[in-house]
Amino acid sequence: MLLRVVLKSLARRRLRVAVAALAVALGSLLVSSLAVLSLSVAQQARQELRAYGANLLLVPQSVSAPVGLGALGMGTVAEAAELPPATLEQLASSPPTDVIAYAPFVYGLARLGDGSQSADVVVSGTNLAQAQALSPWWQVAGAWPATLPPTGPRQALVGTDISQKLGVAIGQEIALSGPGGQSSWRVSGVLSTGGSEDSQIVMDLAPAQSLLGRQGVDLVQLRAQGRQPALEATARGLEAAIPGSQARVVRQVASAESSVVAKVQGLMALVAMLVLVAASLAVFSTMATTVLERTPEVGLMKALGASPNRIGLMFTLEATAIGAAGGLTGFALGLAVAQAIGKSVFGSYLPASLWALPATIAVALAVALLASLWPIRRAVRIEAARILRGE
Amino acid sequence: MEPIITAHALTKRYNGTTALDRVDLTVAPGEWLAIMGPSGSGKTTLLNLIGCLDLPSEGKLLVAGTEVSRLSGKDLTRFRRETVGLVFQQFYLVPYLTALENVMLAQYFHSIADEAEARQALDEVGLGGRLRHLPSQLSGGEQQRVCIARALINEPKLVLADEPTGNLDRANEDLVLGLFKRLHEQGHTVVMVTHDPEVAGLAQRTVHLDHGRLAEAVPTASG
Ligand SMILES: Nc1ncnc2c1ncn2[C@@H]1O[C@H](COP(=O)(O)OP(=O)(O)OP(=O)(O)O)[C@@H](O)[C@H]1O
Ligand SMILES: [Mg+2]
Repeated sequence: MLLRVVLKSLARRRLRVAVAALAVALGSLLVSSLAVLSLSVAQQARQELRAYGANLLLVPQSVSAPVGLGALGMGTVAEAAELPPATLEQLASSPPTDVIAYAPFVYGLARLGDGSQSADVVVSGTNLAQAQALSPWWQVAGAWPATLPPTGPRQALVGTDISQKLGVAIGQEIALSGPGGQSSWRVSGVLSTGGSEDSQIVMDLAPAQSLLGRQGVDLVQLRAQGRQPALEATARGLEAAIPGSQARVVRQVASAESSVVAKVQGLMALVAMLVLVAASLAVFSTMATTVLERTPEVGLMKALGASPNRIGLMFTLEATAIGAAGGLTGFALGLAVAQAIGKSVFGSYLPASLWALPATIAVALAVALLASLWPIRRAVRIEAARILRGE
Repeated sequence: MEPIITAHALTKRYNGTTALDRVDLTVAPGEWLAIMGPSGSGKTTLLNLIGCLDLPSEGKLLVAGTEVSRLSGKDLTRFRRETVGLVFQQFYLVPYLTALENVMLAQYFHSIADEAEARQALDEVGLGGRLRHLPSQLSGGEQQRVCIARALINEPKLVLADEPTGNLDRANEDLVLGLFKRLHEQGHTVVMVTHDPEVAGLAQRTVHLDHGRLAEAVPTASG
């Protein structure tokens, strides 16, 4: 009977009830999609930020202070000490546990072309596979160099700036002469990284070393797990393991990772809070109006012998119905929205977490019931005595 | 026989104004009592107290052997739904429930809803063909008859009516009064507030209220 009363009463005010349910739906939609997003953002951002390359730099002890990669090169490198070839063997045979990826780099000047057409360029030698793993955002138009081409000269990547300035195209054969000799190269692709590599010629480590007449490497970029304190420990461990080396933490990247995620999540939580407050106000006004409108009806029910508990239960059921309807709608919409956002932001569908449905409905119910608390209390306190008086 | 209503020095004050001033009243079981008086004289206040909708400020009130002036809110509610049937001047019905459901609601709050019984009660007030109508689809007289059916559905010892014909035309007034006559004949105790001396004439006894004070008018024939 009570259920019948509740349903009929809801049906009679369906427009207003629908508006309140929609407000709850939008509220819980945002909260649930933000919750799903926030978790995936934390996950995905960690993955994507991991792509922000090195957070540790291994350099020879005597090198003064290579602040960033862009400051390297041009002269200073040639005079500096280098990391001996043994370094790489050591890293390869017993890599530190926390290190996810690393790549060695050797830098030097070489002359591109001959005669009047020639220009000085920075040549960078690295383990291309390792560099790619360390910096997945490197983009190559054309192809990565084949390690040992079946025919023709060895292959190299040309930075996009060089390609544009000097008019070097994919497939073109170029001549490079450095301290170690002269050789000819085929441009397999144009590299763009947004960093200093854009104005370098990037090739495999061994041929670069022979071109530049070098034995060791200038630095090793490493990507290690963990945040500041853990990184420092890893750095000290590396220094101890590799004599003559100095390990530095690249601070900006390491701290950016955690603070970006925290900021995004904080913003999402704030938005969610505001939205919930708005939804609560909508439910509150609907329930308050309902109670006000139905004061005679409630008085009548009390005069007929309804206990305050029954009256409370009746309005609680109505609020629950609004909350449940809103929650279900919100979940369905939220799922769609989260998928759409996931698709456009991360290029992948987000996994629908199992607890998203109960969580969304719990949020919706909590909003609906909390917002109805005061109106329901009012309804419970309506005095039956006023009914007979016709107030 | 022991009176069904005994009021002794019954007083009700609303912050300052004394709506009911030391009223003494006894009503015998099966009696039909009319309460008359000018507007604001305390008629509704008295009916609310007898109907256990409100508690007196002072004095003693016994209804059906229970001292209701001592009951707490919860017990008062329970006592009311067991003992009293109420009919109001305005035909208070739940607007989105049918005639049948309105009657069943009173059953539900009393104990459990019984559709067959509710149907029969509406049949008895001549509304057997109007069960599924909403209040807005019923005339004033029909609505008041639904209220009477509802007041009687739980077989109360006491039927209280506050100007039950105040908003009705002549024909409907006669219909409704006919129902009360039948109730009285069946042995129900009826206490009815009215402005209309003709209506009061149907009662066995009429009391007058003036400024919260009671004055007996027409002495009863049966006592
Ligand atoms: N809730 C209340 N608060 C304050 N005063 C009240 C309240 N209810 C009634 N009164 C006062 O008590 C007095 C009696 O009111 P009551 O409703 O009993 O009169 P009545 O005889 O039923 O009048 P009417 O014939 O107009 O229905 C009036 O002066 C009224 O203003
Ligand atoms: Mg009155």
